[in-house]
Amino acid sequence: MLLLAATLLARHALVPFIPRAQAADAASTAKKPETVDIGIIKNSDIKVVQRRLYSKEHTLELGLAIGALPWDTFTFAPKLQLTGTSFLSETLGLEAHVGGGYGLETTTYKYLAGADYGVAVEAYRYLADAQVGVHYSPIYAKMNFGNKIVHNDWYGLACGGATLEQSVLPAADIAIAPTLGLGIGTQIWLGKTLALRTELRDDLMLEHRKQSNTEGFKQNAGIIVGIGTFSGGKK
Amino acid sequence: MRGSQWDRGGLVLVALTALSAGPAFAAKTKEAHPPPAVEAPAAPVVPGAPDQKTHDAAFADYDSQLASGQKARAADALVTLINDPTKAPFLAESFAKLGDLLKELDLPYAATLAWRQSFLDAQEWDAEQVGRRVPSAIETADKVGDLAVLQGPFSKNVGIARTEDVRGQMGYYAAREAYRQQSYGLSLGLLKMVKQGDPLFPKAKMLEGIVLNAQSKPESALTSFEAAGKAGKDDKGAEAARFGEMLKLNTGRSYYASGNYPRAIQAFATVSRGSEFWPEAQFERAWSHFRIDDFNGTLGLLLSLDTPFFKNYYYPEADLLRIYSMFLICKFPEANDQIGVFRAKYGKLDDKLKAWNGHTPEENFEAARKYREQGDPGDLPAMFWNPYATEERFGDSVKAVESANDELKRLKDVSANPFADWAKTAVKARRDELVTAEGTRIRDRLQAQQDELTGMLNDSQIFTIDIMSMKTKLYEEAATIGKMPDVARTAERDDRVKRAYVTWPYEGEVWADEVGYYKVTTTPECPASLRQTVQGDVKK
Repeated sequence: MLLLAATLLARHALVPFIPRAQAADAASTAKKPETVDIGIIKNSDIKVVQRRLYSKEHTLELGLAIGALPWDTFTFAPKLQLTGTSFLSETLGLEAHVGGGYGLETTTYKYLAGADYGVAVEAYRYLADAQVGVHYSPIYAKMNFGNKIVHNDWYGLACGGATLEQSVLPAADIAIAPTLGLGIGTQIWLGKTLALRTELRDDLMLEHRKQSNTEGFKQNAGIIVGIGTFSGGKK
Repeated sequence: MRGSQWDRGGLVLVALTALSAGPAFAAKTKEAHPPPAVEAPAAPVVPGAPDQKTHDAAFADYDSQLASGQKARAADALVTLINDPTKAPFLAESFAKLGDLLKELDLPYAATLAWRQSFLDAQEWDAEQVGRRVPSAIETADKVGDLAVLQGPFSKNVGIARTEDVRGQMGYYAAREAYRQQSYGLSLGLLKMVKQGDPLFPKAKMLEGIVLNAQSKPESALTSFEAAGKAGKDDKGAEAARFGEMLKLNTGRSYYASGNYPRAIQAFATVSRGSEFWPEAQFERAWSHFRIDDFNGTLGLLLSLDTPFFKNYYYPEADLLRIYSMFLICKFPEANDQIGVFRAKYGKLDDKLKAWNGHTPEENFEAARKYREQGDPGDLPAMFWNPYATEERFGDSVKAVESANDELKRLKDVSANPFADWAKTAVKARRDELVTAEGTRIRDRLQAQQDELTGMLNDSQIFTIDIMSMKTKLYEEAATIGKMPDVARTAERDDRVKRAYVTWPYEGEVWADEVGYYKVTTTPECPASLRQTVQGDVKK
């Protein structure tokens, strides 16, 4: 028994503590042995547990943002948006926002409407929208900028509401379109109660166009950048 | 030893009783304002005291020069008096007046030294007027960064204090000196002179706690720290914040010393992360976890000190504690590897420390000063100089040496005369004394570190044998039962992350903001037969 122990020790003296599964594997096959971690502290044994520096739970975020709907072929709309989000937890919030702006004709629209083509496209310009929905932010992250660590989260947005639009044609018909807004965005904390919000959103609308008496599907894809202030929650 | 301390403490109490009863030889004053330029001498009611006529004759030249506005010549007259052995009864008063004049001549360091001498030479008949200089002397000494120079005279002649506030100040500084000289009983007695409401009361209570800890009375020390915390709770500012952090650290130490490790952990955990005491608190907290067999806690805390952010901190004991914790949870390969790393790292440092030995105190002082001011560690790694970068005592000494050099520079421009010569000699001597004392302290500490490190390196070899022995037992058991023995069941930690907390995986990458928040949850791999506990060892 002692001899066996001595043999074992001698083996481990030559090959410093090869894990047992690995040693058995090496003896039985010529394949590269799998590593079995015995007697060591693995990275997975270590965690970082920190108090969340920027907590959203039970806070109300009020935001002001500017943005644009730049990807429509016939209109370009600068936009102002007010947001209110009540966070039920760190990840889930109920959001309401109202936006307003004015869709300007793009060069494409002007070109088509000009002397060369003379085509009056029945395009609708953005005027306003109001939506409510769910704000879901499953990702809380940190970024390292030199000596500064910036905390941020990533969220998704699903909202429903209505969008007010106006025909670009001289008749200036108004359309109120039911809207489904889907978006993704990030909030970068600038302080305990202040965050910079950047959001990409696509508002999907069903729009009745009076001139042609048709129902059309339209997308108002936009980008907004703004700030949000947080109040309430645990101090 | 304890008897002698209490004897000395008893003497202080006798002195205190005498003070509170009021001196027989002089009237009690209620104010501690700086003295007027010309003073009436104390009434010569004490045997051996010079009479008024002799006094007036001795100070005649000084009085006339001062009356004509010739301060420098008045100071010369005082130095002539000081150098005249037949005028010895007026020595303390002469130094006290010289201090006043030197302060007016914008020579604060020389003034401090003159006052210091007056406190040392004070006799019963001039104790009152000499004692009135105490607040001024403390203020000036603080400005030049050399309060330490007054501690000795205060502890030797505490009887010159006449008013409550002066008594409190002198008592505190005298107590510091007594503590420095390891006269703990005397120090505690002197601290009783600092009354509640005195601005120095919180500091006095803190010092009391430290002295009690040094006397191995941690439970009593806790009461003192609690009183210090209460007294200083309304203080604001950076100094008060630093005091508060130091108090938390000392409280933790007292709990640790009294064997109350959970409370020690609590106290160490309250030390703010931004505080200069935080690394030390982490280290001592790791020891507390170790004492209650929470080796994962120890490993998690010590991981912070192993990050590159602490490369300028010297904690070989932390490395050994980590290795020993691994050993106790049977992480033998890891412990073995870490011993190799320890030897490689600290072997080099040991060589460097050995090479540094032999440097003079002056060279040690200069090297530490250079690191503090310029961040240049020179021939030794920065970790050895790092404590002096923030240490209050060394900072005061550097400031004092600068003040002395500045004053000596200004004295160069003063034409040769008795008072300037006296000032130059006194300031230069004090500067050299300070440099030598601090340099010696640093040199001795480095020498002690080197001795300790050599011991640790030697012990690490024995430790390797211990690991080998444990491994042998493990394999003997394996050989007997035909398989590796099962790991002893241990209670699972509650691994849930609390609300408002966030958990990040560790992938070997170190983020500055994560230091101090590591949590290790490794499973001990000891079979029941090899399981060891620190608590068990302690109980044995």
